[in-house]
Amino acid sequence: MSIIVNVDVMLAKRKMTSGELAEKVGITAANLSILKTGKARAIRFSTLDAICKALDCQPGDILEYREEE
Amino acid sequence: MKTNLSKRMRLVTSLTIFFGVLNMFAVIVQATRVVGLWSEPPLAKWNDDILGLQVAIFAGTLAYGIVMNLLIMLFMHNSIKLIRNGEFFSKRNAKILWWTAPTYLIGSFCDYNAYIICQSNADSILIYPNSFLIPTFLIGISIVYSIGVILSEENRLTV
Repeated sequence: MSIIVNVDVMLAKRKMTSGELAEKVGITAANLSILKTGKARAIRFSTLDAICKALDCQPGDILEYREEE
Repeated sequence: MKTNLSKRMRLVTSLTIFFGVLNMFAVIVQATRVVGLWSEPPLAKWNDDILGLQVAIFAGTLAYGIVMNLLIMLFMHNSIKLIRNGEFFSKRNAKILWWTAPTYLIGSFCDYNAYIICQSNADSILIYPNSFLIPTFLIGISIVYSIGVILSEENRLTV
C-alpha cells in the first residue's frame, strides 16, 4: 500500500498514547495498530475525521503517499 | 433483527446436525443391509465380472452418505461459530463448500447406478446431466462465498 499513516509523530507532538487516541476516536487498539502498521486497506472518512479532531491536525499531517518501488 | 437471524441460524444449525447424524446412521444401516450383515439374503448380488464396479459404487455411495453429511454439518457448525464472533465468512467454510461439489458428483453417479449392486446382470452405466448441474452450481456458490471471504477481510482491515 502506497499510503502511509504517520500517527506516531502527531501522537508524540500531542503527548498522547495510542490507547488514549483509540479511545477518543472510538476504535479498538487493534484497529489503530492495523492503521499504524500499514495493514489497513481503507480508512473511513468518519475515522479520519475523528483522528484529526483528536490530534488537532490536518489529514495531510498524518497521511503520506510514498510510491512503491 | 440480528438476534432474530442469529436465533434462526441456531435453529437451522441444530436441525442440520440432527438430520445429518440421522442421515449418516441411515446410510450405514442401509449399507449393512446391502452386504447382508443384518438381513438374509443380502440385497447385493455380487457378480465377479463387474465386482470392481459394484464395490466402487457401494463404497462411493457409503462414502458420499457420510462425507456429504459431515461437510454440511461442519459448514453449519462453523457458520454459527463465526456469527457468534461477529463474522460471516471464512476460508475454511469456502473450502468445505468447494468440496461438496466433487462429493455430490461422485455420490450422484453412485446413486443413479446403485442398481448395479443389486442386479448381477446390469450392463449399462447411467449418467444424467443433473449429476453435473448441481456440482457446477455448488462450485459457483463456493466462488461467490470466496468473494465474500475476500470482501469480509477487506472490511475487517477497513478502519
